[in-house]
Amino acid sequence: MNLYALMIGGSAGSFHTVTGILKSLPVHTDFPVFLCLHRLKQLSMGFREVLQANSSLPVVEPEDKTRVCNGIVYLAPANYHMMIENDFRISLSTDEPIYHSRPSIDLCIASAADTYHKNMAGILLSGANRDGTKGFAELKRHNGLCIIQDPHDCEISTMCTSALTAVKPDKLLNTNQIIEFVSLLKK
Amino acid sequence: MFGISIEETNTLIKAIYSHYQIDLSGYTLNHLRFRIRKILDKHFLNKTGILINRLIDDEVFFDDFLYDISGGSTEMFRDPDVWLILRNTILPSISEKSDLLTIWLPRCVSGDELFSIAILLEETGLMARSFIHASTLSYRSLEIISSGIFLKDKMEASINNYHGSGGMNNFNSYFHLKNNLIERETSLIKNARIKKQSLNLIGIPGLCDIILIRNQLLSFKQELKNNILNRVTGALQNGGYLILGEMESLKDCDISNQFSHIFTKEKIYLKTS
Repeated sequence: MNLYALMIGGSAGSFHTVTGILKSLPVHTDFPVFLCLHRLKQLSMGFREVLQANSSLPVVEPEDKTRVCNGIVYLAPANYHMMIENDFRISLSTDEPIYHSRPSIDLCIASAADTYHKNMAGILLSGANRDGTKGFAELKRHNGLCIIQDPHDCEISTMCTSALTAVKPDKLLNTNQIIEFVSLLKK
Repeated sequence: MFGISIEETNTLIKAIYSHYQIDLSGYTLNHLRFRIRKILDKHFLNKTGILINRLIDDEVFFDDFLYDISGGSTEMFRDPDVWLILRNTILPSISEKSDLLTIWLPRCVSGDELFSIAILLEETGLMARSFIHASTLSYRSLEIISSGIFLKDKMEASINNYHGSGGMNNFNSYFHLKNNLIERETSLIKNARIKKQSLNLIGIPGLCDIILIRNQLLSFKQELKNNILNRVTGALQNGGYLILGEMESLKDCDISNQFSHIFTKEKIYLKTS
């Protein structure tokens, strides 16, 4: 496939998989990576640094209207929604949380799917609510590549189980398989 | 996105422009579509076409729509560090230099920022020497702000923010209960002039010492953001302060070289020329 963007959504129980993915992304990754993770507000300090320590690519919390560049991991800032606009700028939003979540995985993946269509992949990981279901349905509608973590492999399976009721994934993988898959990704 | 196509969105933008001469095309497509989705759900409408018809038929409904499309939930004293700097550094420094303090909030929706700044002026003893201009896009917003309405689920975060911002009073003393609803003391905004104003802010107030426009420009495309910042800068004194949201910046904006970025993390800019 022609991969122009990768988006990863995760919540409770996804941290280990996320760092595994970041470690396995090649230094010469030539697409942007959007990372939308639920996190506690009080843990926002230092979270980017922890991810950076596990990543060979730069991990940034983008400012509003940042132009998307290849080879950068964009971490949705705590307490903001992150959306990808069709002029390839990132826009942030302080609109109400959705499913008690800000950033919302639904908004991030749905907006990215609208911009990159079939040329993007989304990975949904462990989590304790239903965020991601609508967004991955949108990604599927655009023929983007949908990867969902096997609920049996999730620390908390609610999020992936919910998504599986709405989306037939292209790949249903466990943590190790996800990490291996990511290490082979190329544009 | 979420069942709202780009074509439908453009049809809505055109219909509103031709009927009300209000141009919503400066909003980012995602902000607009996400909020249209919420508005459709709120009114149990299943098609954008039906929404457009109602918007054109009913001016009150349209005003309500303008309020909802403004978006941006917030709470009082959001990002306490910003308010701490205002309280301890900026307000004292301006009040030493001039007798009258003029503050403009060019994009008010809920009034959370307005009441926060009013409380700060009250507590620093500057209220009597201050004048606040607040602009809203809708009459609904104007009404909500003027009546002091406050959503109870914002209270907990607001109290924490207030104390984080250096507030030493009993925060509850700025509120009262009325018919089981929490209302803010409207005496706090007696020196404020709240006015409905167009999206591109035609008709700016006189020269201001502080302009606070936090997180409201997030909704706009770069071009409208740039235009609004041009306009806002024209209303700011040299030596005045422009305060944006913590994840916003003046990057790619015409006026960026007129400012020095004095508090980097808090996005507080000093106008130098």
